[in-house]
Amino acid sequence: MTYFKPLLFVGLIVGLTLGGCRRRPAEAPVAAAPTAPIASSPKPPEPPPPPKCESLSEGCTADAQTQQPIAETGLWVQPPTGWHYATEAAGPVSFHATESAALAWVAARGTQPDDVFAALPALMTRLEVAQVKTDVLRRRLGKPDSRVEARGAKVRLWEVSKATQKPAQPTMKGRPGTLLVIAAEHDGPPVVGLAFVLEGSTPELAAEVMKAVQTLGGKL
Amino acid sequence: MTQPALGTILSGRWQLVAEVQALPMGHRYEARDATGQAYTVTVFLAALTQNPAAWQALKQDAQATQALPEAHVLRTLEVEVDPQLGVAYAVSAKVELMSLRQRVGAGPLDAGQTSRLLTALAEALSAAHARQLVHRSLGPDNVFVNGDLGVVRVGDFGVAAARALVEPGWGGEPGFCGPDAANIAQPAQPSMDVYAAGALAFYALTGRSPLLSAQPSPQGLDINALWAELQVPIASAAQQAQRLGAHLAPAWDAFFARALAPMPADRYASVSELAGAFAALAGPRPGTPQRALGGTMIMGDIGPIAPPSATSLDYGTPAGAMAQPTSAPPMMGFDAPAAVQAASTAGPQTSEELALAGVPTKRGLMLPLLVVGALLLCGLGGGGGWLLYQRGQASRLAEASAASASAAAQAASASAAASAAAAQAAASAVEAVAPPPASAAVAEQPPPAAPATDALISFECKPDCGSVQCDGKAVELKDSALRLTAGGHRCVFSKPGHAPATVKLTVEAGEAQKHEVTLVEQKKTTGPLTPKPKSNCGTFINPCK
Repeated sequence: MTYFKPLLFVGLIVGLTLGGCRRRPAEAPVAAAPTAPIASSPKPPEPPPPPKCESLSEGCTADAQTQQPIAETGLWVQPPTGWHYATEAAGPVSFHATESAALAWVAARGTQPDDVFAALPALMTRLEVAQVKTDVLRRRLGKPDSRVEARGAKVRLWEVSKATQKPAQPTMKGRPGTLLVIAAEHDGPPVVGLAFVLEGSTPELAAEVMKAVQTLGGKL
Repeated sequence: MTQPALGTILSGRWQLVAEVQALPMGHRYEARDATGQAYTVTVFLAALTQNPAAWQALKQDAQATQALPEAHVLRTLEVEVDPQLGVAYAVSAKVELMSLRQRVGAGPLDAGQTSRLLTALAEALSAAHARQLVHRSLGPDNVFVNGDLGVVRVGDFGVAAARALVEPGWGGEPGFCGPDAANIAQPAQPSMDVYAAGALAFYALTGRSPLLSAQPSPQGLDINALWAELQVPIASAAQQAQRLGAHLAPAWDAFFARALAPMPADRYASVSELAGAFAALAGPRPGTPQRALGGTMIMGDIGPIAPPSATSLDYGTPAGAMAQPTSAPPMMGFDAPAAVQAASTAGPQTSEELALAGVPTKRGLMLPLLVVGALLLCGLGGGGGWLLYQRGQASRLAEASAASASAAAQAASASAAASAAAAQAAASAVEAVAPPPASAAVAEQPPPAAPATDALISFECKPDCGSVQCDGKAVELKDSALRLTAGGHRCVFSKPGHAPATVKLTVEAGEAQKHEVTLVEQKKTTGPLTPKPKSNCGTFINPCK
């Protein structure tokens, strides 16, 4: 019995030592960290580059501050708010979201009827306008249907519809409607514009076009 | 940016393992993280990241989905741009569900399933609308369901808003968005989702978008035609479905006319209201055969159809509205006690049993038979005289008040008769206290006459009716009246020297109507007709006020 306590102590030490040297059981694999929700996402996204709005495919939508230069004429125009717009090389163009109305501008070589007439084919091609009796329109260009004062330009207007060139009705992308020819002059080179509103559209669309026409002027 | 190849690891975390679907705004993949957990990753077109407003909208809406109920919404876990590849993507949990398009592709849903779909959509969208979040592009490709529509989840929140900013010309899911959602100039409104939910209901019931121009075509989608069609209200969804080669009962016309109204103000105020209206039309027990006046099936392919039974129809229901079969009176619906419901639903299954339970003239026999059965069980069975006596008792019982009926039910249920007989007794008791007068003491009334299918319509004409055409056919009035069949009619009264008068009628069977017709005398012009003044109104210049 006298050796019992030391032996017990030694046995305990040996046991603990052997036990401590035993190989540890394999730890459970640590799963990858769960997906962090947006709120705790560590890195902010890289800011996308701002669009240049030089093509309609960029999807730029006009707001109240949008202004487009008309080539190198020094005239600027505000497209109707909410319309898609692009400042293309030839000049600004804008389409209503439903493509039921459109507006395009180019620089003109002068203010005479022939100068206005010469600018029309490019605009009609751009907006895909057809069924316009050019001979009838050419004769009408001597006297405008209406004159309006824009912000910084004097504007002459001609409306082309079924009523003015019976029985043909102008079309845009194959759909009938009413065409508006716009000629504006100011201190610099003049500009010519073309607007189209599809038949059956609400009067507000034509009003939006007229409002845009009246924004012609220098850069704000 | 080109489409990332399979195996690509985005942001070092999400490995694309399979392409699931091509989307208008990119591609949807199945992806896995380092633990092997499956996710759904949507890789967006570069145009979206190049538009700051679109990218911001997508991020904001994805963030907002975190607060929406997970039971009905596929939350977006992450919206990022891979820094090396420049690929924009969104991550959401992968769910073992099919798209609604896949589900409906296997066959249109019935009204009960469609009701469940709408209820789930209402929960998801109501929560979203409460947080100023409008889906705007709800369609069969971003609603995910399981086979029995027990699970419904909405995905792609925020994508529509971003897409509207990137893609010119169209704002919503063509064929499932109204004119307001299609016009991206219009700010997002909950009413846009109301229209989409209505269109999805139409799609679920018919397998087709409600718009003719939105049907799949080899020529692709004609946006102009679709835009024009969107401006015109759908007067009859049933006729529209017929044009699309599908079947839809006319009873749905009013629902879809409101759900798919071009003007947002004319639609249901919310998706919840729309879902409620649908559920009300679908009936208290989805799957129960329901019929409109004249025995027309009104629910499409729903459950077993009871044979036409004149006495089982509620002729007091207005034409075009849902007729409740008297075999399932309102009390037997969700408001009835569970035991009674069980009894009623466990009741008639065959057409013969349906007719027995639904025909009031035989209802009086049920209770006496049961009482006799109980008496027999108690050893008090008797001869034929006793049985006749019990029948007399039964007639009186049928006239009894709710208290006596309840007592009868208790007596029957207390008896040791078979449990099926007890259930029948309970059903009879409920019918006895049901408010419709047809349920009381019908046995003593003479058998009902053949149901009226028309009504007497009389006219009071000033100065007189002249010649009359109804529905394009000349008719003769007898005593200034005629009989017209139930439904809508259009009668034109004409008389020389008078402007014709048109009367539009909605005739309900058996309900006489009287209409006043005034024929206005036309003033004779002495000279040649004066030409109509030429309009000087223009479109741009001098527009008409």
